[in-house]
Amino acid sequence: MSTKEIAEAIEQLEGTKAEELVKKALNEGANPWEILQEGIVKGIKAVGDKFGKGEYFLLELQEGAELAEKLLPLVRPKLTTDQSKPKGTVVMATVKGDLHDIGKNLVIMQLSLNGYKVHDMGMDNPSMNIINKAKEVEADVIGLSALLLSTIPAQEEVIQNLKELGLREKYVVVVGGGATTQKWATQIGADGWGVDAVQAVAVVDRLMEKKGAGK
Amino acid sequence: MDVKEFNKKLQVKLREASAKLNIKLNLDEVIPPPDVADAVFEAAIDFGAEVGLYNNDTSRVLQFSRAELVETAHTRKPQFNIGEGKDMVTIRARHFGDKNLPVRMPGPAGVPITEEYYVPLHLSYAKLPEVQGIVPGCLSTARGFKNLAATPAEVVCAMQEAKLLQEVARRAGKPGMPLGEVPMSAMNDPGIIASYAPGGFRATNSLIPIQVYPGLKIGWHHLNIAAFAQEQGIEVWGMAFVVLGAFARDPIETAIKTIAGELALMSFTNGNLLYSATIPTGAIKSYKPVLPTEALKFLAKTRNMEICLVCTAGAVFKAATKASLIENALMAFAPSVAGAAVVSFGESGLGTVVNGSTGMEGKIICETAMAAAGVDDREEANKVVGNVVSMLMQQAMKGEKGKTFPECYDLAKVEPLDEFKQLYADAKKDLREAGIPFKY
Ligand code: B12
Repeated sequence: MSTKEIAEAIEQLEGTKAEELVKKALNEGANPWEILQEGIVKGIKAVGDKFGKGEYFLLELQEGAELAEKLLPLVRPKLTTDQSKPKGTVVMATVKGDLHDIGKNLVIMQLSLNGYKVHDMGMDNPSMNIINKAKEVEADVIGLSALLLSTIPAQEEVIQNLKELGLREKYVVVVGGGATTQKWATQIGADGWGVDAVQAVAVVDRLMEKKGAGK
Repeated sequence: MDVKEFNKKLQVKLREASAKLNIKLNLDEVIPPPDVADAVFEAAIDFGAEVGLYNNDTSRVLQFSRAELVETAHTRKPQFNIGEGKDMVTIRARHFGDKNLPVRMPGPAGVPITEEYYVPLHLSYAKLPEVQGIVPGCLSTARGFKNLAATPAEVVCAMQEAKLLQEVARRAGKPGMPLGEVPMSAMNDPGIIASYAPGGFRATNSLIPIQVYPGLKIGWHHLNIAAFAQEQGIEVWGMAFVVLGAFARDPIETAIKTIAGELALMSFTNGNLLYSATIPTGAIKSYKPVLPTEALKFLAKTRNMEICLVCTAGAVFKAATKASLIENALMAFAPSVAGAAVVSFGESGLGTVVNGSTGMEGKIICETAMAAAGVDDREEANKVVGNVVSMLMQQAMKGEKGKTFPECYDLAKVEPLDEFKQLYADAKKDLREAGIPFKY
């Protein structure tokens, strides 16, 4: 029994097979950490990669995320508390006045597939609602999407409000969406920017690592 | 219904609908065979009746019966008037090979434009002899205030947009000309409705946008604006957005889903006009799936309805480049052959560069659409499209930098600089050689 088979079954979105393989591996006494990392996480990453290449579409991403939700509870009880934690908690929102959410939804899918717990706030969110949500769910990361020149200032507003509330250091803030650039992100004092959903994960990974190191 | 459940149902049913058709589309042939277009239209009605529209604000599904959608398809106005006095135009349903010219309503649609250049930039489109109406860009500041969505600034910008566009119409000598997809500077209901306050837009000179969100979603916003439009007698500039590569995987699925969304939209708005664009995402960025998708969507509708359709053309390349002119012409040609009633947009830099579009992009799409009228040989049209695509690929390699409006126009006269005029003449010459039958 190899973790590779688990990864492959997930990549092919063969839910029942993946579930059986995970159960079997656990029964045979395989290392649960390895099943998680080398089997489930790798398989899900492969689903995300296929989406990036245009081989998979939203339906497959959604199925991949659902499959992960089904498989994780099987291994979680066998892991130490530290190992079973998600990589981080993210609050993702499209800012006030903005009704574009396709890009944000893609970013959410990719982050979920890559082991983050993501709270989707949908579109048209007042700045303070976003901050309150981050407080409520004890988020590590706040992700802000905006596609209009008239809504990107709301990204800056969230950062300003965080500063005024003395909460800026508490959260990693990443911004993105069609109307934004790296230059804009730097200008408003965001921690990171991503051009697309795949890069968003890399950026959040990097910033979370940095945050962890700083602790 | 949970939105995830709806998304899943939508995609599963869409794949089933497409599998049932069992059509392998030849992407080298941009305008598809008529039987393919007809089959897709029928599939769209079935799919629409099965799936409906999802209301994000209530988490409920608006279900339409097959009979309702068929009735909507067959009861649209085949023609209507818009605009005032001598500038009124008749928008008429066209069909493949139609000799009637499409109505020309270009403009820097959705392009962010600063207050300083708002009037001259629009005038660069409106004053062209081909142009009968315009669509606007977003006013990014008004009276010195930044346009911030969902704040009073947005309300002010929307009202200011209405005043400035009417000034543009007067200065172009076409005071009654129709203004499409307005307001563009307001994203939210208060601003949109404020732009129709006295002194602002009127039902007689404007078309108000209502767009079904990708993934067949709507919200109270859509119903609010639909209610306002019906009460006031404002014609709707309608659209169902589909992002190619997200919920829909390929041209067939995209066309089925778009048409289903459009029929549902017209069922609750009672609108008579649809505009169209295919937005690619992810790995799909080339013209190959985008152009056939657009052509299929047009042909399926113009063959099976009497319907006024707007073709929107635009370029990834920046303004004042030959590549942008060629790309704009490319996007306007096939839909016009397939029966677009109106040609619109004509812009550069994906519509996102501040002050980054000009009347010259508008001119090229108008001339191209007029040239396309009467082209009735599918093979010949597809050959022309192929030629233009290769031409564009070559031009793209040249890495032209591009300019913004104030950099390539004489602002006092609102005329392109000589250099830009020459570029236009060169692009048109190349396009003519590629087979676009310009009439003059
Ligand atoms: C679809 C669309 C709509 C749909 C949106 C539906 C929806 N549910 O999302 C509807 C019809 C509602 C719409 C409405 C409007 N729109 Co619009 N729309 C678009 C369009 C065509 C595509 C956007 C899209 O989904 N792209 C695909 C996704 C995948 O890309 P993306 O969002 O950029 O996301 C990627 C990255 O940016 C990144 N990312 C995104 N978010 C985040 C967040 C983080 C944290 C990170 C790291 C990364 C990240 O990853 C994503 C995946 O790769 C664009 C044009 C374009 N080509 O972009 C115009 C566009 C954005 N819209 C525009 C305009 C003007 C409008 C309207 C004002 C038009 C009108 N008058 O009605 C309204 C405004 C409504 C509002 N209040 O927001 C303009 C904006 C100009 C500007 N810069 O200000 C554009 C550029 C088009 C244009 N020129 O006309 N629109």
